[in-house]
Parts: sequence; C-alpha cells; structure tokens
Amino acid sequence: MFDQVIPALQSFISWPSPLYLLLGVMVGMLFGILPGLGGSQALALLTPLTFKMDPSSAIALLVGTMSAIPLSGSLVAILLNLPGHAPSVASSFDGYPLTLQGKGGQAVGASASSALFSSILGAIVLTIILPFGEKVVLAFSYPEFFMMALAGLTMIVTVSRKGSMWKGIITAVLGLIFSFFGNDPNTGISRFSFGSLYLYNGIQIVPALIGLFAVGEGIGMLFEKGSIASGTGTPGKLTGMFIGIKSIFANFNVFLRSSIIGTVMGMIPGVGGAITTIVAYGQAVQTSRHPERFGKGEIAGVIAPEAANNSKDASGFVPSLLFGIPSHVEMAVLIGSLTILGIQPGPKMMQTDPGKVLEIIYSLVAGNILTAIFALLLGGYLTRLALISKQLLAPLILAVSIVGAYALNGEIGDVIVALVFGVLGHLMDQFDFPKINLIIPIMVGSLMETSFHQTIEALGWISFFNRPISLCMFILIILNLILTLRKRKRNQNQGLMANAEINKIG
Amino acid sequence: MLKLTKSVDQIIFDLVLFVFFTVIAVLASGYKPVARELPLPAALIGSVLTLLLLLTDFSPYLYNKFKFITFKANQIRGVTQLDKADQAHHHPANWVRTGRTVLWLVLYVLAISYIGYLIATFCFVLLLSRFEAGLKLKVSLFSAIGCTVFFYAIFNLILNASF
Repeated sequence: MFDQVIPALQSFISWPSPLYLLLGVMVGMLFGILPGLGGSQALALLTPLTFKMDPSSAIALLVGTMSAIPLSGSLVAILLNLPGHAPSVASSFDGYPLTLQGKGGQAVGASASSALFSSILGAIVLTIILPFGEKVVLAFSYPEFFMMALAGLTMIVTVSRKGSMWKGIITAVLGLIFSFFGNDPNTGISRFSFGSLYLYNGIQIVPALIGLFAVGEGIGMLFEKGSIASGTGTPGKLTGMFIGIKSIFANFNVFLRSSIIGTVMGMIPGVGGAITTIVAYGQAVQTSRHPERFGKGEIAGVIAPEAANNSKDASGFVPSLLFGIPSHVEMAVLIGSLTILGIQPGPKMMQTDPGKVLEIIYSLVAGNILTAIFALLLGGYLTRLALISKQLLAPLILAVSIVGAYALNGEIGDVIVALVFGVLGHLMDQFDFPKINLIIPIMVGSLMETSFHQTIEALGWISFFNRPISLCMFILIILNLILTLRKRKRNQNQGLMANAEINKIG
Repeated sequence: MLKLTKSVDQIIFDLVLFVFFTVIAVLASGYKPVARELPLPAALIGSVLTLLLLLTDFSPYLYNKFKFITFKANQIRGVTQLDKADQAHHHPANWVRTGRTVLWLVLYVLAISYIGYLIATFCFVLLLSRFEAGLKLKVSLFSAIGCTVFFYAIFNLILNASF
C-alpha cells in the first residue's frame, strides 16, 4: 500500500478533485448545520451526481462532504443550542453556555481545532492499521465474515436509543428480510420478487437510503411550522477563537483520551456518533479535577465530544473498507456510493484498490482541514441558515430526492423504492422504530447469507467455533448481549422505582 | 370493551408488520432449502416478535408484564410517563396530509415520465410549497425557479445526464 502513496496523492490533487473536495465540504457544512439533516441525507442526495464523475473526483466530493458534517453540526449546537445532528448534542452542553457568556469564539475555536487534530490523528491510526489490516483480512474467512456481520447487527440492536430494544430487533429483522429480496446468491433462485422484473435484482441500497433519510425527513418537515431555529437565542460575537485553539494544548489529556475513545468506538459497526460523543463527554467529566464546572461553560466539555466525533469518522473506515461493514449511517451511504463507482469495499480492497484507499484518507484529512478553516472564517454567518423555514426546505428536499433516485439508473423502480422507503421511514419516525436498524442489515444481509452458506458448505458448522477469531467474536457478541440486557434490566428496575416514587408524591 | 395500550394507528402499523413477516415466512417456506436457509427463520422470528408486540398493544396486563418488550432504551422514567407517551394519539389530519404528500410525490413521478423532469420539478415545488406548505406565491415561485435552475445546471450542464 505505501508504494501507492505518491501516485494516490498525484491523483488526489489533480484537477478537478480539489474543486469537488471544496464543493463537498461546503455541501457537508450546509447539511451539517441544518438540523434533522446530516451526512446520510447529504451523501444520499450527492450520490446521483457522482455517476458521471471519475472515481477520484467522486471520492473527494463524498468524503469531503462526510468530513464536514461533524464540525458543522457542532457549530449550530454551540452557537444556537440547536444540534445539527445527534452526535453534536454533547457539544451544546458546554458550548452554548460559553456562547451566552460571550465566549462563542473560544468554543468555535476549540471545536474546530479539536476536530482538525483528532481527524488527523484518526487518519494516522487508519493509515497504520490498514496495511497490517491486509494480514488481518487474510486471516478472516467465511466464518469470521459471518460473525462480523452478526456482531454489527447485534451491536446496532443493543445500542439503539430510539424506541425499545424489542422494536430495534424487529427493525433489524425487517432489514434482513429486505436484503433477501432478489436472486439468492447461493442458488440463483429469485426470491420475493412478486412478479416484478425490477425486484429480480433485489432492493437497491441507494434508493432505499434516499427514501429513508431524505424523503422520510422531507415528509416530516412539511408538517412542521416555523423556522428551524425558532425559539433560540442569538449567537453573540465570535471573538477569542485563538484562545479556543490554544485550549487544546491546555487540555491535551482530555483531547487525547477522547480521540482514543472515538477511534476505538468508531471501529465498532452501529455504535454511532451520539453514543461516542456522550461517552467521551462523560469521561471528561469523570476525570476532571473540577467536574462541577461542566455544563456551565467548561472548554474541555467542548473539546471532548468534538475530538471523539471526528476521530470516529476516520477509524470508521476500518470495518467499512476492510470488511465492507459500515460503521455508521453515513458510512453505509458512502459504501453504497463507492460500490456504484466500481470501488468495492471489502476484504480484497487493500489488494485491488490500495490507491483509492489512500485517496479516501487524503480526502478525509484535507476535508477536515478545509472544514476547520471554514468554521473559523464563516461560523457566525453559516448558522443564520438555520433560520430557514422547514416548510420552504421540505419541497426542495423531496424534489432532489425523487430526481436523484431516478437519475441512478433511469429506472422508475428506484423511484418507487425511494417512495416506499420514504413513507416507511416517516412511519418509523412516528412510531419510534430506529431507522439505522433497518439500513445496516440491508447492507450486510447479503454478506451474512453468503458467508453463512459458504461456511456450512466448505468448512462445516464447527468452523464457527473452532477458529480463534470467529470464536472470540462469538463470545464478545454473547457478552455484549448479556451485559446490555443486564443494564437494561437495571434501568427498567430504576424506572419502576421512579414510578413508585411518582405515585407516592402524586 | 377492549382496552388498548397504544394508539390505533400504532397498532395498525404493528399489525401490518406482523402480516408482512407472516407472508414472507409463507413464501419462504416454498423455496428450496438453501434458498430459505436464512429468510425463513428470519421471517418466523419477525412474526413472533411482532405478535408479542401486538399482544402488548391489546392487553394492558401483558403490557405491564412484558417490560422487556415495552421499556424504551436508556430511559429511566416512570411507567406512567411511558404509558402517556405511547398512548399519544396521532391526529387523523396528519395522516391525511401524509397521504396527500405521497400522492403529490406519485404525481411528480408520473409527470417526470410524461412532461420531463424540469417542468415536473417546477410544478411540483411550486404547488407543494403553495398548497401543502402554505407558503406565499412569490416565495413558492422563487423556490420552484431556483430548484429548476439548480437541476438544469447540475444534471444538464455539468453532468450531462439524461432522463
């Protein structure tokens, strides 16, 4: 892989890739700032635009977009107390109090520099791990791929924060069912096609993603009156940015720990940014000498979640590129987009496309550098976009979604899939079913089924348990389930006790 | 009279899920053994899970008995509060609006096929903004023109894509 460093760099900096990187960063910042939208929507909408591009430009556009989402979401959280998306929630705990104290600039400076340095750190870790990842990948065979897919499924079910765990499991099973539509990879038999020629090839992931996250959100937004940022205070002046940048070094321990947390948790499929940033914020509070300052404008409370949020994106490429298993929703969309471009993430990617892997890393680092620069220059002006009415945005989002789905292959079937999944996504939002639990199984279902069958045919049932890596993963899956169930049981008992207290008081 | 623990629309959604899983299980059972290796067990599991969910929807006794089904993730709240949240009724007008929005989208798709995506986009954004979102005519017009120009620039000029 290292022999591709210079050629990949030459490909990355050749025109028009830098232009698309810049465009991607700007689009990513726009979507990151708008609450309710995020990387998944941005990538889902941009994917059709990449069909006519060369792979290098497409990578620059998409990865640049993804790299800009975390920090731009945090900008709104810090300046308007309006988190751009779930992982940015933790940034508002101490960021907005700082803004109210007239120190919004410090918060933005700390956030931007934290994001920049943690993403570079994450990219370095990624670069170090990936070449060794080749040897690791070769140690993985069918049983390990199945266990990895199963681990991803169980993880998203156990860490699901929307609705009950039961609904999370139901949604995951539903996603698996959708992944079985079309030709059986093992026998070639057409399954669940219902006489439709379109469904012979199964449900395509990109229109499903566009439907779930763009159409679904657009339908919901149409019903919500008022502007996005209505009811919040004004941001104040953006002074003291350099003080915020320097605060990274004053709180280097917090920064480093949070980056490590983000790097490790980013490698686990399905954990998601919201949990990662909350965990990082929690450790910053617990390890601080002055925990009482958190929540009232402690700069470390801005550094911790931001460092974790950005380092997780870099390490999230490890399972995504090496194993084809997306680490989070944005990565799921990105993998789908890369697949359409002919770049197949998975065990063989390090051997067949090492140059593309390096271009992804370059785009990630460059995207984060650009985003940090933009954040420092334009932070205050960008947040005014959050004042746009949801009802003005909704028709535009719906139009872009439909045309985007149609532009994929010119197939009306793709549009119908986007429509159906859009309605399904809206209903899932209404009834507290987690959408992430639907999309990850659609991505990994085929891998799961293929590797399961190949394991049984080639190696036998016992190979799931007599291969060390497979056995370790199986044990970790069981432990994760047991620990999660115990924790939920404890939470459940606490809830019942709280209810008893409420009834006493009432 | 049957005492429900969830709103009617939520129960309908759970019922639709149950029927879907059951239909898939029936279809999967008709495939060859290799082809139904994973789909059939998955569909059966889905059927059982949604059936239990439905039972808690209809029975307050089971709703309180099967806390592992109904308790939401990472929430430490009283059962009373959870019950109120779960029993919140969705106003029928919202579902009518959802249906109308879907109808608009279907008409949009048909329009793309017959009159081209640019004209269809202009009409869709204008009409949806004006009649569903309730925006002023001037704003709706500006939005529709802007969106159409954006599509033309991106798809026709830059990407040279055809529909």
